[in-house]
Amino acid sequence: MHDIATRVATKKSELKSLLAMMDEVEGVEALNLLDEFVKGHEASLFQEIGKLTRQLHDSLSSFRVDGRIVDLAENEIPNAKERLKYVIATTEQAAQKVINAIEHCVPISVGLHEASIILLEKWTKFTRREMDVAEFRLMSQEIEVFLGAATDDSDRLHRSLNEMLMAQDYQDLTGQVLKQVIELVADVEANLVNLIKITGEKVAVDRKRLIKEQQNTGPRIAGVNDDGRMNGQDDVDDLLSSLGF
Amino acid sequence: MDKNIKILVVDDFSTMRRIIKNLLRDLGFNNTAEADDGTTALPMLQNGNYDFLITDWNMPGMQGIDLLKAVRADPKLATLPVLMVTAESKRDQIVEAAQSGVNGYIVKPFTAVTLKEKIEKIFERINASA
Repeated sequence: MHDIATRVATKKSELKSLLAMMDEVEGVEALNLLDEFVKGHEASLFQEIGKLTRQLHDSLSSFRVDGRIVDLAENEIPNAKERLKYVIATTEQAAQKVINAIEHCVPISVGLHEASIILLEKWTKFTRREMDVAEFRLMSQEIEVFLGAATDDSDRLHRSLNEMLMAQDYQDLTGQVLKQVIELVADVEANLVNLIKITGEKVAVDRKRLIKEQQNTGPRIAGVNDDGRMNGQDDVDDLLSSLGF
Repeated sequence: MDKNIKILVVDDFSTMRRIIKNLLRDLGFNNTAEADDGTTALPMLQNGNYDFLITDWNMPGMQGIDLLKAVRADPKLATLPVLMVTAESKRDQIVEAAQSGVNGYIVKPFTAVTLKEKIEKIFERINASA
């Protein structure tokens, strides 16, 4: 206030001395004096506008530094969503491949097991010399059939095991994609921090409210969502038995 | 115990349904059917003479906990033994499942041995109280 009062007083006395000077001269010369006076004031006005313009420019360009955010929002995040969908599809495909192979193997191993039990019984009978010639001939044929089938079956088992092995390549593929997405999340985080710094808003957020009360949170991930969670089946069993189970 | 009992396996992921069905087959249970959420499972249960229900919790449509409650509320199904197999492991959730009348609770990831033990325990209890 004091500053403004002083400035008003200064301007008044400047105008007074201008009027006094204009009284002393005549015609065009008086007008020239007025022009000079106004020019001086215009200059300081232009200076102020210049300052404001520079500030605006600076603010805008610091926003432009974070034009990266626009790119993140428009391209990279939708892209990351597609990548994560790829991870879901690939892991599902791998799981199905392995289960297919297992379902192929189980009946083979059951068949081998059952045929072996039957032959072992007969073989034991033979080694105890409790088998007649006709039975022995029959057993010999059965052994021949069994050995042929076992050769084929073990080959089929081996092929299925290889399929299971090859299905594990999802780990490499999805691992790479997940790493890219993790990098993107870090990038988004850094840019958000910058944006908050620029806008200078002190946003007080209740973190607990931000992470909405979610009913279903999926598998327990240490350090991420393990609040109030049971640490495995043993804890669950303890809790249930405390409830009378 | 009777290995011919009819079992319904409910999970939204077909891989998990297949894993459970294969484990059940290894335990000698061959009479199994699948559903991918509670909405599909409930009419199957109401019309299908099932002896045992194994269900996930977190599914689109009707969730496992709501399926459990619906089963307990239906006079025809009220005594059907229910085993929950789920990644949900919050204390509150387990308590809620227990209060809603679940017979067993397994948290994922689980092992074949755990599944066998829980199923045996459920039927031991049922046979003891029968």
